[in-house]
Amino acid sequence: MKTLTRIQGYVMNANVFEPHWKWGDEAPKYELYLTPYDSYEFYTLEDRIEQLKQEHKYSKPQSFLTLESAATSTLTDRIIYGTQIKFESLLAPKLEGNLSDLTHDHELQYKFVQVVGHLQIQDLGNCFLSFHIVESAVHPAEGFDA
Amino acid sequence: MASNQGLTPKDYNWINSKCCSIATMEKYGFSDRDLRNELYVLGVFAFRHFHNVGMPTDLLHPSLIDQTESQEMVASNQT
Repeated sequence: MKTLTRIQGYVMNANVFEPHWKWGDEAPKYELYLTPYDSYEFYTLEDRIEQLKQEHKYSKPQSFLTLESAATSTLTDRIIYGTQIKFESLLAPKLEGNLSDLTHDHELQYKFVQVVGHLQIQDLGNCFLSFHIVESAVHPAEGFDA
Repeated sequence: MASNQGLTPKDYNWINSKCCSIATMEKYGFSDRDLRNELYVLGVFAFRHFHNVGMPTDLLHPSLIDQTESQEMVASNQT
């Protein structure tokens, strides 16, 4: 399955220059929360997550699970948070275009960007979105009232 | 008589998500220009999808006779 994702939208919050270290994490993470331009992205992602989970399920050798252990072993996905999509990575993403001159996270906020990453699944079956490139983009409606 | 006009449940979902997103953007303090751009997209989406023609190739030309962005999108929207 193709896991590459390219999503355009507005940056709501970013920890791209200063990775975020949360309680329980083994290493600091680079994070970015995006409000997608196209709301279909939510449904597309949900479909792809479901497909990835199915593939993951059938790629693993079958093991016996009690009802109790099956219920407790499910972890939630870390992708859709209300109206935002979360990207996370252990490696610093590359900033391209007009964003390459930025030096602080707050400068990224409110910017319209394209984020390139991959939909990934962990051993326990929960999904997340990694990101590798953040590039500046032009909003398709820019200048409509000019 | 059946009509090919009107919004589908999928369109309504898109509009609901967009309305929530725009309200969140306003709460975060986005500029009026950004909010206007998003509201414009919302209007174009509702207008074009009501008439079952999908989004235009160029968002700045939203009239119904302008070309649709992708036939796939229209097809998937009808399912």
